[in-house]
Amino acid sequence: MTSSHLPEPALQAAAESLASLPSSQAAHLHTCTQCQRQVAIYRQLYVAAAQLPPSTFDFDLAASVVAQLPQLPAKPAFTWVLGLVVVLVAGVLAAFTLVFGGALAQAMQGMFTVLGAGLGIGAAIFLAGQCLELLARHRRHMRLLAFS
Amino acid sequence: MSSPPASLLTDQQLVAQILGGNAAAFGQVVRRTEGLVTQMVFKMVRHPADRPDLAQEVYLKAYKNLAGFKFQAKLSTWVGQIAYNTCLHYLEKKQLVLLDPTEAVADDEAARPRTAPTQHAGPDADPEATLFGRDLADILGAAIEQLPPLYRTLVSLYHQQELSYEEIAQITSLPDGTVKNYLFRARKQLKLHLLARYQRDDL
Repeated sequence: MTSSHLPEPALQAAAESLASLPSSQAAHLHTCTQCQRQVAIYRQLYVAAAQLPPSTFDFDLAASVVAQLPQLPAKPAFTWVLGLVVVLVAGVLAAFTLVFGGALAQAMQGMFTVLGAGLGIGAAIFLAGQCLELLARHRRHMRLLAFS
Repeated sequence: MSSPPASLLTDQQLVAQILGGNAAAFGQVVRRTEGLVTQMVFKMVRHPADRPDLAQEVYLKAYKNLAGFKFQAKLSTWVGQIAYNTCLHYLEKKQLVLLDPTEAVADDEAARPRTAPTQHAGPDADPEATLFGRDLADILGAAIEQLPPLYRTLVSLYHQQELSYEEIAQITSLPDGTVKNYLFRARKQLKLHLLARYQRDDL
């Protein structure tokens, strides 16, 4: 049995389900009226929160939305044409590589290292920028939601 | 054989009908998810006048992007994500003209339907716990309105919409642990608020 009272997270968890408590905390709760009272308060809070009347609009949202719906763009009738174009382009590229591949490789020899390093550095800078932007956006959103 | 009414269709069948050109079937999507979207809009947006437009914007976005929805999540979760992001975008745009919280709370109080006092706990309840018996719904409603928008939204999604932590995490794009932590803090704030309120009323 634990001698100190249950911490707040355990009180909240116990109010949802006693089964979620470790046995030592459950044993303490069984004998401690102070913790039982705290759990009962949370339990009432949960029940009351679930019974709060839902917020509603004073107009028919579904009817209003349906009345404003634009036409969805129609699917292209000949999607197979696009597929055919892709196959043709891929075929031309493959043929080009087969015919001129060797000559191209000779011409580019030595440039691959420089090109690779340049691309690698560029990609790293781009990635770092994207990460920083994401982080800044997340912080901005949290600030808005937490304090507005 | 005639097709079944839209209310009996699964989400997949409903989406297929809409994408097949039956725009009216989208009304059923709205009916299935409007509880969630309305709660989110009401909890995240303090200004009552902006809420109807935002709710409609959520659904227009959902409709336009429906072809891209591949059922990786439940339809309601996907619509919830759109609602959350739309409200966030709104907050970003309006951050310089946000209402004074006290004014906003007054607005919300006027708009919120009044409720009957919550029933007292049953005869087997802890007598001390009946502390909260009187007008709990009213006081709790007001206490929730005083929470920050994110906490209000999480409390509403978890306790009123009965979504799981995982679903809330999907909607808000927050990690599960963060959702649990914020909910924990929100409930603690609510409990302290209620206790303070009842002590002040000398109950």
